[in-house]
Amino acid sequence: MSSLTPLVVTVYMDQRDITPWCRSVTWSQPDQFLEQRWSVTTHAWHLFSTQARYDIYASYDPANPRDTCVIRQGYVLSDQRMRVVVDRAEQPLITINGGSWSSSSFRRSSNETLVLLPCADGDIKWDLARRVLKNYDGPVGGYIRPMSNCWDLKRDVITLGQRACFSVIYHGPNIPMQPVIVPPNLSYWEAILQLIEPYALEVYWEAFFNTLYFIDPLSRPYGRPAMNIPGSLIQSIDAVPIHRNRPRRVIVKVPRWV
Amino acid sequence: MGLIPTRTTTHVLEGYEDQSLFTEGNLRTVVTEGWYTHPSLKDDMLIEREHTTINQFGTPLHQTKEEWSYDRPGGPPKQFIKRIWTKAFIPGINTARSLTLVQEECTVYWTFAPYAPDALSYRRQVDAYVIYNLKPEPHFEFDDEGKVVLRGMKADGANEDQKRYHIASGKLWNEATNQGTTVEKADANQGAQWVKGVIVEEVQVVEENDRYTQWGWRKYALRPDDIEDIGPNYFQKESFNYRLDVPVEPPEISVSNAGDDGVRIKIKGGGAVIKIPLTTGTVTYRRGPELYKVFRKTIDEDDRETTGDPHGLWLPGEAPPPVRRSVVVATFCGSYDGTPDPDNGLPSQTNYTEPDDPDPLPDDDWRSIGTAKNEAKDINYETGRGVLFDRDVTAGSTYVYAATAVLQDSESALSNQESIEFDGAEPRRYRISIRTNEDGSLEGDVIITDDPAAAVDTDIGETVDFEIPAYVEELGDYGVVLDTVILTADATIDVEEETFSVTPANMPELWTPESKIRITDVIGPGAPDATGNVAPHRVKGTLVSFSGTTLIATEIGADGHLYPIGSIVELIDTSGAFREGDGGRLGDETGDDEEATMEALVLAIGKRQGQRNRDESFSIDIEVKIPLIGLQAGAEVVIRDVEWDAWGNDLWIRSQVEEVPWILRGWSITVSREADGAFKCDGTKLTLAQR
Repeated sequence: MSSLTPLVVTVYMDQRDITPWCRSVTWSQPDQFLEQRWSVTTHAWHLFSTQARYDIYASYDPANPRDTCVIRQGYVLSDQRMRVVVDRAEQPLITINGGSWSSSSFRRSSNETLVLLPCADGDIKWDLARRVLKNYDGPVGGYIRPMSNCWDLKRDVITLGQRACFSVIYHGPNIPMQPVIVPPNLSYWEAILQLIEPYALEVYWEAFFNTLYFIDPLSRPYGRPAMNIPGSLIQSIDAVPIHRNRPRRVIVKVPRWV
Repeated sequence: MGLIPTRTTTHVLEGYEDQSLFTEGNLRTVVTEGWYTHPSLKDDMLIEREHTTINQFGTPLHQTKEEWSYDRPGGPPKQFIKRIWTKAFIPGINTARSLTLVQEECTVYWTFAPYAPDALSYRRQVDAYVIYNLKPEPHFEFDDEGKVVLRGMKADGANEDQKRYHIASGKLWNEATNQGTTVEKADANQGAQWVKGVIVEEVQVVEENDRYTQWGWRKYALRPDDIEDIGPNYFQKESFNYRLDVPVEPPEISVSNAGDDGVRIKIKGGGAVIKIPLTTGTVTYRRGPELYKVFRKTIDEDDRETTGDPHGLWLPGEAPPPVRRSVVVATFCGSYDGTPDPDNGLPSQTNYTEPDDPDPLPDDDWRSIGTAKNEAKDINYETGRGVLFDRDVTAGSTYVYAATAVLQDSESALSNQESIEFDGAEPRRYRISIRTNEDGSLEGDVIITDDPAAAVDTDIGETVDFEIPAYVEELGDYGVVLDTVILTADATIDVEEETFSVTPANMPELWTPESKIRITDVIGPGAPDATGNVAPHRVKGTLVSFSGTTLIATEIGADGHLYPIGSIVELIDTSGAFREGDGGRLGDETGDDEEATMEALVLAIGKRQGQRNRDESFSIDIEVKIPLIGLQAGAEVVIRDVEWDAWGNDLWIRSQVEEVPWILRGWSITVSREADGAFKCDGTKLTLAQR
């Protein structure tokens, strides 16, 4: 069946069609990754630019070859630039490995301390931030950025997610929060993971909408598409148990509100 | 005797390697620090630090060395010396631009108060090169002599060059370099002189009853009229607690059944008795405890039932089924001779279970079940009293209780032991205990149960700690107050449901039944709470009705206190709806709102940790023969009708995959060009995870 399935794939480099020079194309979203990866194998590698942006389209319909954009604004990974792997084929081939655009959005100013504050906007947030930082002896950067309106866990997660340029849909437990300090040595993503770690939330990233979903393990999954795969299409299954520590006793400490 | 560094650290900050035409560049910056390490110190002490900037040719461009002198570990500094070497052009002194000492700074500290390490007296003196413009002729008028002396130079022994200095043009070497007023020529009309005390700063500390005051001045020799004031800076003294070794007496307890609230433990008395012998007779001073700690020993306990689940975790349909599915179910195992014979087959894993341990050992250790606050209004004069409800009890079981009294750092011995057989109807699945730590933080402790269908609770598993900056109500007054009314008649709150006379509400439509209210006595002096801070008397409750000027509230924590006229009644928002500053602009998705109590927080975490990690789940990779484009992570996947038959080595295995929902965690699609030049796709690889 594989050879019968028509799949039209088109690769664009800076909006120029370079499909004829491509020998094979792969795109993927690795498990637990918040970005997509792609790779192109070519024999005309001198034509490829490491500075360019790549778009990969796929379609089931040959008359409409750019039906679905599977990689938008892909770039060559910085650690893969100028990499050459040549084997003894008829023609020397090279593989270019890239990522999707979104991974750049995780960067954070290395000199900034975020303070998420359960208060309204205005002068009160500076007063509150000063009060909070007085009792804090962790790392701080050169400047403080207080974020107001972070009344609860959901608003904390949304605030951090939006600073990293993601939409956030949060289906976890919503708990009123004290001020949270995000030191400069934590990325936005690490800060979110620390906040939601006690609640064992499931997290996934939907590339098309650039949205982070946080799903409560106690609730049924909802808000995402369901897909049935008939067993006749499946060629193999490789199952591995996910081993986790099994908690028996949970101790929760809540610091004193300063 | 000074301290010398016992540990040295070096940091290298790489600059840029590009050769620069017009500057010397910055190849790297090296910071070497010498630390004094000692086990008695919380933090290491910085003794010396050297800061070197290296130019693009690999030679030092700028160097700073700082030295701190200490008498003893942990003490205040005695002296601080800082020296700066640089390759800056100094007229007449460093015309060859070699690395030269250009500035030296010495600060001497002293203090008469050994417990005031932050408030030190000191004298700081900076000696440095000062650059002057030269007049054409040596010219030294009588008036100038005074100025010269003020600016740190000798007027008498001035040589010919010094007599040419244009005094008002004097600038510190770094000011002149930065402002670009140094002329970098050997024959320029500029000169430089090492001036001692070009900046002098002196700060004195004065001790007062409750504080230290720092006050001083700073003088610049180059601008003698410009004297800066420093301070006054005030340093409040910290008080010291002196602890007397007074034994704390244990309290007395009594226990009774409290129906749905479990077992009620009432605690009375305890605390310290201090006898002070005076010439006029012995004065007896009695102080009640701040807290009571309550312990329990289980004599026998019936098995817990699935139905007794007050927190609704095990409701069908809310969560996935409690028993994890296996991915591949072995439906049959043939015998070794090749004939499929289920009766003669080996036992498969799915039909063999280990029998339960029929006789679980009773848990007969003392376990802490919580702390009770001393509810006496004035713990210095009244006998202490407290009450605690133990909700983690099973009907028909027998328990023994005891308590201790806690006063500052001392804890009494165990009190009398009281035994009770609980006759309540509601057994509890979760064991929760809430403690208040000495630093005022709260600690919740929950034991996660096994599968509720299982008869035996084993105590095997990990203990996980979380520290969460959540807001829980016990911690303070933080919360959104929607409306406030004031009591118009005194009310003593000693029953659970009470009627109050109040002023009319500003927004009566918000005072709906079941909303939370808080009554605070803002008139009286208040009483110390568990952490020793004086707090106003305050109770919380639930509104029953509000009509005009009459307010009925229930579930009040009756404290027996008289709330006078003028006490305020606040309507508290606990829904979280008013906290959404943007009015739901972000969409209609909301999470579960948990109550802002410690118990709810601990349960929210315990339930989810238990659910997520209770059984092992599977991660599977499957290959699908068609290319699937437009896949999104997080999609729910159901695999229909997968069955395999396999024969090998005389063994016949038939398997099937269960139709359970999986979650798409990742995928990969590869297309490659065939010999005919067309792209062909082998299919899609999917990575799925079990919920």
